[in-house]
Amino acid sequence: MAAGRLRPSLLLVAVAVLAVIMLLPVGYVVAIGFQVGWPTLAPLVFRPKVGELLVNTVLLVVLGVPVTILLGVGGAWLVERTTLPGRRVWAVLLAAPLAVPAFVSSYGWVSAIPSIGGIGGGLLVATLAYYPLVYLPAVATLRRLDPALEESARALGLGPWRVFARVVLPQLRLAGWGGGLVVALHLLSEYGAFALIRFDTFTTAIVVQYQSTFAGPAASALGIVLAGLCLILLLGESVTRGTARYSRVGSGAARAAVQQRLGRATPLALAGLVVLLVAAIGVPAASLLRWLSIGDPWSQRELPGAIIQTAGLAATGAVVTVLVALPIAWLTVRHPGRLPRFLEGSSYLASSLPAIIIALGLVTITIRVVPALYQSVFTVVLAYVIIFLPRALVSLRAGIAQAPVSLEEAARSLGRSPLVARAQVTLPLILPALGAGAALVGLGAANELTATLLLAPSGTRTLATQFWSASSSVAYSDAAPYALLLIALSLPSVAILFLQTRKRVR
Amino acid sequence: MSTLVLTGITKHLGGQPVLQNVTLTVPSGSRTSVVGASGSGKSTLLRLIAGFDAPDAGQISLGGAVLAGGASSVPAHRRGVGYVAQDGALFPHLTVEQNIRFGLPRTAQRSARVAEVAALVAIGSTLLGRYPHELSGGQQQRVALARALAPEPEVVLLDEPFSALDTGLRASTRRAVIEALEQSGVTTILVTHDQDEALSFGDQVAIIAGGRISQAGPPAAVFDDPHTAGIAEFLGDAILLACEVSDGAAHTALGSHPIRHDHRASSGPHQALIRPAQLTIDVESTFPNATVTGVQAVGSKLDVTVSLGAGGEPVSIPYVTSAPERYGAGQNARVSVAGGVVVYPA
Repeated sequence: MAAGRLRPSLLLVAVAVLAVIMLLPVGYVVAIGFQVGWPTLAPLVFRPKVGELLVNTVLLVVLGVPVTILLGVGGAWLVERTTLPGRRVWAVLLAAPLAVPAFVSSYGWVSAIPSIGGIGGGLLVATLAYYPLVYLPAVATLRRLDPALEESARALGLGPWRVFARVVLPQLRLAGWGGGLVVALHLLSEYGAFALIRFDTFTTAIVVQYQSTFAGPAASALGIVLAGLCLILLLGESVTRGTARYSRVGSGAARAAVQQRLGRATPLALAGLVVLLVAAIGVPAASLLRWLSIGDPWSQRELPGAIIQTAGLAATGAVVTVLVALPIAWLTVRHPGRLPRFLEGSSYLASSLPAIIIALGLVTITIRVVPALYQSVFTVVLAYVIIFLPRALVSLRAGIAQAPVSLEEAARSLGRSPLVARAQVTLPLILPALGAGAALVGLGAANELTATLLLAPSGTRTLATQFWSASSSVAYSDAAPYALLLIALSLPSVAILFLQTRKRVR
Repeated sequence: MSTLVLTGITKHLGGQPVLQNVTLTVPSGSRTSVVGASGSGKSTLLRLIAGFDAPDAGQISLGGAVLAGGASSVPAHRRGVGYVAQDGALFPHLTVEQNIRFGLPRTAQRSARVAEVAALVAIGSTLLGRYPHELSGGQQQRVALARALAPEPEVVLLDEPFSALDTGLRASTRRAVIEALEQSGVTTILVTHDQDEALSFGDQVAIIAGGRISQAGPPAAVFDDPHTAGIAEFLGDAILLACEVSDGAAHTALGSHPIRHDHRASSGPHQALIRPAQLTIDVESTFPNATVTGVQAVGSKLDVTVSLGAGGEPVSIPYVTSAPERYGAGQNARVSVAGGVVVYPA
């Protein structure tokens, strides 16, 4: 091996250590569960309250996921495959609710209709906030779908509706199920949106338990049940994804697909979209504007401080997350193999768990093992790393893949030592990916509520926590400026996501 | 002098032997092509010479100085060995000019040298300000060669540099590259899986199979006298017929032929190598020795299948003719052979 070259084995050890750190919090929660023992946990798990939470949570998933799939796939089909007037505008508007954090959307509804709540309210708020998670992959799939398949089906004598049912729909299965499972994970982990309308799920109950018993065994017990539910969903996702391959076989540029004429159904489709978007964007926006116009919410003393603290925490989280993601992405791209893939998968697993479980694990671990780190900046940043690592990984993997090792070798054959070759050739090439990854993490961290509430040092005021304390004490007008800033912070990452989705595969 | 000498090179990757006891000498200023199927170890050989990897055993020396082998190993960036990768590996964030001057020392008359090598590979000055993705595939390959030649390396290694180009571009790019190499007088090794490319490239061709060099020598000599029937088939269209040897001649179903080269190891069944260019098929002969069983047009060639004698194996002959309409299945024909054959154990 040439001198100065980082050995894969060293890198492997570093990445393994990182994966263990990522899994530590949830592992600790589970370990405590075992330590406390089943006799102590059983009465905490099997009690009427938990049964009620289970019913609520399961109903939310069982009813909410099909609705989001229907809205997401239906919307994608309308804007991609029909003659709907104004398709380009609708395409953007349908993705827009993603820029409104679910708890802000919930605030819009509850401040407009204070009586909203229960399973109906939970479903309304959650499906409106999360259907874009199905819509975007469905749009991407439809764009990549080879129109020749549909044309062949037409040539074989199938009418337009049968083509949709027998050719297009099966192709959308992956996007639909994949998006649906992502929605289910979000429904399980959402705290703010449901707490505001007083709808109890496992996640809200864990926070209540945490606040009353301070990380006692009851919170851990609920956390274990919640983690179990999430693991079932994750397993389901990997099984559905399986080895199915739906991408276009063969090369050449894809042609534009044939558009389905809507005819007399056009007014119906337009009306449906208007109702959907009024509910998803109109109501929260109207509430927000109304509360902004009452009093003088922009003159709150805490506002500038919250902006500065949010920026500081989010930037730190972004830099540290990218630094953690770099060796993992490097290893999986440059030295692919079973072990690197397993380590990367473990990191993804940790990130897929609800923020509340990660936060609970970090609280428990810091209190019991290193009290000095309890509610410290270090712990919040660690939580951000665990929660947002996939955003940085996706970006970095793509970036490193675009800087192939052959370029470094070319530089070495032209007289550059391995380190200099890396600095002069690879670094400039992955710099945009580093920046994009850091931006995505930073924007996410700036909007993070659950973990920040539990883990930030006392006295920390971020936009999300300030919004939270104002809106949960019904000071809706005070909450409005924070809500607006949170939406503004979400817009760039939603825009990036949207543009990636629309990219045609050539 | 920059004669490159490989002695007993052995390399394992992932526990599998990739190169076994490879020995090869490339004289100073000459061009050698290494040809083999994919997985034969030819790219690994180049990576060892470039210094991207180290051999398990054996020695690589250049102009008498040891590059690799034993205790010492010169790192890639101090070897003075240029390398052109399969896809060119141009730095996408640098312009053509910045790419070419990448390997030049800061003190050198860089602009002059860039202009010099750009002219050598026929890259016009208008292209110097462009980025690699704005160039065609052939231009990218020529820039990659210019970049490798700019620091005046003693050896240039070309790893399948033409394989990504389409047929027309491949021939013209190859001519331009050979011309540039000739003018610069640099010692060159080309690795390829294309037999015609290997045979037309240079002074020496080395055939590599299963990690071993099975034969090396001047292209014309190697093509004339392949040491095994396998090499003969690898190098080009080959017709191998069962034969008996007596009185210094080879006797096949097509008659008796003088023996050009004899590679019989022992007594037993033998076969004779005939190239299609040696054959004529006469369908009007009054002394037929074969029956045409099938005719298939393949571009400029006819693929004529004949059966020789009674119950003979069908033999497929790639045949060049100016009158393809004269050949058809069912005809009796006389197939005759001009010149000598090479004899191998069957």
